[in-house]
Amino acid sequence: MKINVLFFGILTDISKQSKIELSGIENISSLKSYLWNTYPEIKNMDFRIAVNKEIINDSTVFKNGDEIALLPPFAGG
Amino acid sequence: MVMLNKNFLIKGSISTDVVKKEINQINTASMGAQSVFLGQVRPDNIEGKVVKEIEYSAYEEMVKIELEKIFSDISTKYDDLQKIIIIHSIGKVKAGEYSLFIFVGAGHRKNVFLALDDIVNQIKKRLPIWKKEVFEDTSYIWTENDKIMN
Repeated sequence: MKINVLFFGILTDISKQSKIELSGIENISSLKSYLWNTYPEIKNMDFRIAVNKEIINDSTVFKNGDEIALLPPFAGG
Repeated sequence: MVMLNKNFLIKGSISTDVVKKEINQINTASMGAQSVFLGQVRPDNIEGKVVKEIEYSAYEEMVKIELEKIFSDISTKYDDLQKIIIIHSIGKVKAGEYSLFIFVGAGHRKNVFLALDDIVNQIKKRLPIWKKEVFEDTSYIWTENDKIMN
């Protein structure tokens, strides 16, 4: 199972890229574990998570091909 | 139901020519009240450094979805509305240039003012857009609406 993870705003400064593809990540908990290990600075950041452009809660389970977006606090307007 | 306009994100600043063109395209015959909001980049002084420009980035596909929800909410909440246009900049906008244009037209003024204020608040709260304030020495900071909701 593969998912695409998108980074936005200040998170792109930490990840140094806007998109990564991950395999074997099935839920928010395993995604966060991956992120904390790979990009330790993200652990201290405030962000919400959208799956296929809908902001979701921590119990969401991913499906193959899902687009997971990490959204820091908005700043439009 | 007032439909979402096309070209709601444009690259760079919003020129007065764009504003004029948008307004000229509207059939305002039955709109007794029309209001325009322009958001402009401020040359803020932050700890001794002056903001030269703002660089906006967006999750564009989600911006469209959220804008459609805002249009739906606002049309349901305020009657009498006939037309809404929202245009937001992405990319670089210099201090003194416009980065947000909103038009609201209705039969009467009351709901124009109420809807306009509500739309600006919803844009700040709901649209996945981020901004980097870039200083004259090219250093930058990321800012958030939650901290500067005004």
